[in-house]
Amino acid sequence: MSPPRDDMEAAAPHWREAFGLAWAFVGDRARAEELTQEAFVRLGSMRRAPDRGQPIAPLLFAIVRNLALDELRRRRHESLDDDAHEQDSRAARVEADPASSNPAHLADRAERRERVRAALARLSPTSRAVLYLRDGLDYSYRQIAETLEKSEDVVRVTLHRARARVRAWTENLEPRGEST
Amino acid sequence: MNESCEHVRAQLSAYLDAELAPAEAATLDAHLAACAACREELAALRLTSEDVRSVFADVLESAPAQRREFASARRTSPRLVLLAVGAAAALALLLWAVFSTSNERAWRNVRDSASTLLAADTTRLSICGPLTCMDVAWDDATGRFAWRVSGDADGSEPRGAFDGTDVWVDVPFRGVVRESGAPGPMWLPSALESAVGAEDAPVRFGPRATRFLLDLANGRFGVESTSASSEERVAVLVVPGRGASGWSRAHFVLGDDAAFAGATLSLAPNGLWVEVAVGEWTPDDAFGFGPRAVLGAGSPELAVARRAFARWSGSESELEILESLEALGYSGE
Repeated sequence: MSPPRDDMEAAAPHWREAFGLAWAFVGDRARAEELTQEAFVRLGSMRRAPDRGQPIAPLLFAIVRNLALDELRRRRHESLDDDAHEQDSRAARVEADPASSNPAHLADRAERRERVRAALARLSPTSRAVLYLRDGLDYSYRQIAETLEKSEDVVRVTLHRARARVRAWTENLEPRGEST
Repeated sequence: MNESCEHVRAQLSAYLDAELAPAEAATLDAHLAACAACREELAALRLTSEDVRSVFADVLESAPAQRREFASARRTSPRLVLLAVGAAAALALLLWAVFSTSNERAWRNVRDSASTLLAADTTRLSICGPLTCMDVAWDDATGRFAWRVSGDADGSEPRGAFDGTDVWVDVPFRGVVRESGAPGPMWLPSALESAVGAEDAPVRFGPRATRFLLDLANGRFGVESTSASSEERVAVLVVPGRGASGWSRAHFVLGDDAAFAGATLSLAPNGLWVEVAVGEWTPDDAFGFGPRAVLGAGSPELAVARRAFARWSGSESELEILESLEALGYSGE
């Protein structure tokens, strides 16, 4: 039989992907790094029987997801306590690029990318996470559903809406807020 | 945009992702071939998706490198902790099997103690049998597991002395060998002395023996764990001994320098006995076994034990004992 796995070691190749997921949720690079780091530590300290052959990424992603959702819940709570601008805080959390507020030269791909980045920032964290798993990691709908504990139908609809919104916001077609 | 276009556009995203059923996809293919507006819509969606992809690619590309300090901080005993966890899981499940049916409070005590042990970042796994005791720990100097055994595998001689390069201190085992169900603990050294060389107390040492308890747990609960098939892979070691009385037993101890949780399985003529002990090592303590349970004939645990024992030993003799007990309607204490 194989020796027990050091889960943190086994998960190390997934660091970047996990960071991306954390980023998708919290939209903040520094916080995403902290969350990912914490997820790895938690993974390493989990008391579970070593299970051979099981991919580690789903477990890692589940930890990232839970940590991120906790974080978002906390933020919402804090911002309510502070009577802060909850509506705007979500977008403000994501590193918006100043260039994204420029009038668009949509033919310019780089600039368009910045607008897309800003549009992503306006999405709800969950929508961003769904998009990330699909377009960032090429996950199937089923994998996304499993990772985020949603149904495939929800994934399908979320993707459809999220892309429509990103497109609309990118092209200034239909600027409106996203309901969470 | 007609109704058909509306329907198509609602599905373009999934179409783009190749997540439509073949029939749906064919319908969209046909529509797209005939509808320039929807083709444009698809192209725009594809462009958006590509833009999103490139943004996420940037994010991944610029991801900070993983900081590794936590890994090095844990280097003193990382794999051993996991080993201990695996061992504890197997032990816990085994104990649960016993006490869920017989002594819930005892099980809770064991479980709590095991949790405490693990929370204390167990650095050593002591695995003991009636004739041998084995310590496994992570050796920083070599970056490997190191282990040692007191008492030879064949029971011929306690191997108490270690060479100067050995990192070990004495095995923190305070053992008990019970013969013929006689009550009371014995010190391991004297037990070793009395048992060594006894023809009727052969010791099997190694993977087969290990399989016994693992199978016991695996067969019932699907726990995976590791075996003693090499010195670096030891997680759980069961050392059955067979005394003159016909007892076979396996000791199963998880602990560190301060505390331990252990169990002894004894396959005796009158049933499978499980003895459990948890506590702290003290300089002169005895390995006082606490709660005890006997698995009744017909219990699922006993059925598992029977199968496991048969796989392990390849012998029917022990099974015959149990089966005859069952035939007698033996039902535990």
